[in-house]
Amino acid sequence: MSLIVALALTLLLGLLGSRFTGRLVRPEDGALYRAVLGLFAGCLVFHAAMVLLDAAGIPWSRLSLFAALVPVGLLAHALLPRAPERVTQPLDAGGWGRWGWGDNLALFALLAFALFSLALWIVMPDFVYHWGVKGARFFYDRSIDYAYLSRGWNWPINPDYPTMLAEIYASVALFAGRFDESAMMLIGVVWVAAMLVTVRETLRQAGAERFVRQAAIAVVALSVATFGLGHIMGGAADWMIVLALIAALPPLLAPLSRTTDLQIGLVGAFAAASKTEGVVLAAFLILVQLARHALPRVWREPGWLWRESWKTGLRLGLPAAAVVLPWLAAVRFQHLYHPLKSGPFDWERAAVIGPALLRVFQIDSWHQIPWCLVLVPLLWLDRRVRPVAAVVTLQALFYLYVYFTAQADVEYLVLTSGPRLLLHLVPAVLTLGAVAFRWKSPVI
Amino acid sequence: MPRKLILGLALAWCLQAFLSELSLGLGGYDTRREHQMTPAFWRFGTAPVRQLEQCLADVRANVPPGSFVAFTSPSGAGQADFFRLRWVAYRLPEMEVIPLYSPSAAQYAQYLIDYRTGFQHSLLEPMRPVRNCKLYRVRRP
Repeated sequence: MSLIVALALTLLLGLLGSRFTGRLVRPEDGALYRAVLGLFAGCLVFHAAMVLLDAAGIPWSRLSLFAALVPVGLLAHALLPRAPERVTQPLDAGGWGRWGWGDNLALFALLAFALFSLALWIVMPDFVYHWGVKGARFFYDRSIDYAYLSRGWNWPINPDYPTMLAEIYASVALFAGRFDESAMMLIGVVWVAAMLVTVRETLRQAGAERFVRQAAIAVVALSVATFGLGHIMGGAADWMIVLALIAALPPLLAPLSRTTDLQIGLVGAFAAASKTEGVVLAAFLILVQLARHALPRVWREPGWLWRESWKTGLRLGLPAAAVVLPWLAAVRFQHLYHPLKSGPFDWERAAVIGPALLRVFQIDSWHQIPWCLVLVPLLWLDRRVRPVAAVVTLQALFYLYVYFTAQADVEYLVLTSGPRLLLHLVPAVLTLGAVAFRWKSPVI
Repeated sequence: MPRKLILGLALAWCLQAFLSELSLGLGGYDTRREHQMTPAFWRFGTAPVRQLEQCLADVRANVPPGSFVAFTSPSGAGQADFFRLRWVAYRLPEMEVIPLYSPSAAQYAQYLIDYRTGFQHSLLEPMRPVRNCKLYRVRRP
């Protein structure tokens, strides 16, 4: 029953979100990528409803959630524009969208990950230590229980993290009537599945030839499933970051347009609502897209910077700001920030961080796959994939910055967090590698 | 041809890595009931987790929701007591679970779960026996 509820909830969120994505879809976007954008929008509308109900002091219930979301969905359906009809590309007609052997391998890997997740054999410890306990507590309290989060002894549950995932868990439990771990694991499987269809869409839009596309989808799926099984990543919030970065590939690889700006804005907001690392990812996505607009115009149209850049900035940054500002206010006014997390930059840590990172790259559960990150400097050489290479580089530098500043046993920190932080980047780099393998004219 | 070879080799590498993890995962799952791991590596369905869950099921039957419950367990390699506490907090979301070593425990705790340490204190009043642990009510002077 709980599994059906979890699946139904994600489908309903996707349906709700699809009412909001009319202006966020390009004619060349495939059906499944449109569904992923719809899921993002649905999650964000749901998150806003949960936060507003909580702020208004209205306890979460099936009724209050329906009362908040159904009118919003109906209004959006009535007032907002429909998505443009899908334009079939010549490449699609050539059989590029057809199911193939790589898709079969990817499905096999996804099913294996799903079965182990639902059997609770690969539940990530962080699910027990913070995401799950927050979801269960919010379900019990029917709200974001700030009193519980701010207790001094509850610092291990990371009280200052964004709460969207815990809210999704609480709402699944709310509709199912109990907190069932398997149902929560299914939510994680949905993120992975959405990520894989977006990889497929990226390769299709990039015009990768059939063999490359099939091999790449299989390589990405097998890589993440390998790590998911070996490093027990079922239910990890990190899949949301992986998904967000992958979902940013089509708009970052496409020519600049108002629509791709809005897509980046939506993806950034989803990332920011997911996890603290996602807030930083959102900032980098916005920054890079803004740079794509600004850099070619700095000399040719210097007036653009003060005349138009703020409009572009709003399109890109407003959704993420709508997520981040209430979160920052909650952290600030509910006293959730952990003051010992950040300290001064210490170069001398390099002697510890370097060897520890080497061990992380060679960890058994990764099977040497993260060495693909050495491709990133080469990706900078390809003009088309450079924006994504920039995002990946900035995100990696941010993780390094944290290691150089965090007030913690740095070796322990690198060894425990490094493998899953690599997960954020590896699928995007593998996909980009395949895009750079293109030999026919791209669609986008 | 070389690019097909490169992609083919990458695919072969990932496939063998995946099958290797799949095999390890299946092996671990089949023997999960015999697993005796340190708490940092506990997984659902393993023997230590089931033992703790039996204790907590009995605690839930005896302690009202919303209570402040202190928890203590033997320290050990890999911060064993810390990770045991995290599982207890997860399994009792309707209660406020406080580590006994926290300064707040003396101020807030209404109950104490002693998971195999033999902790003694004059303010502790034993409650009815529970499986795999001891449950006390904290008397307030």
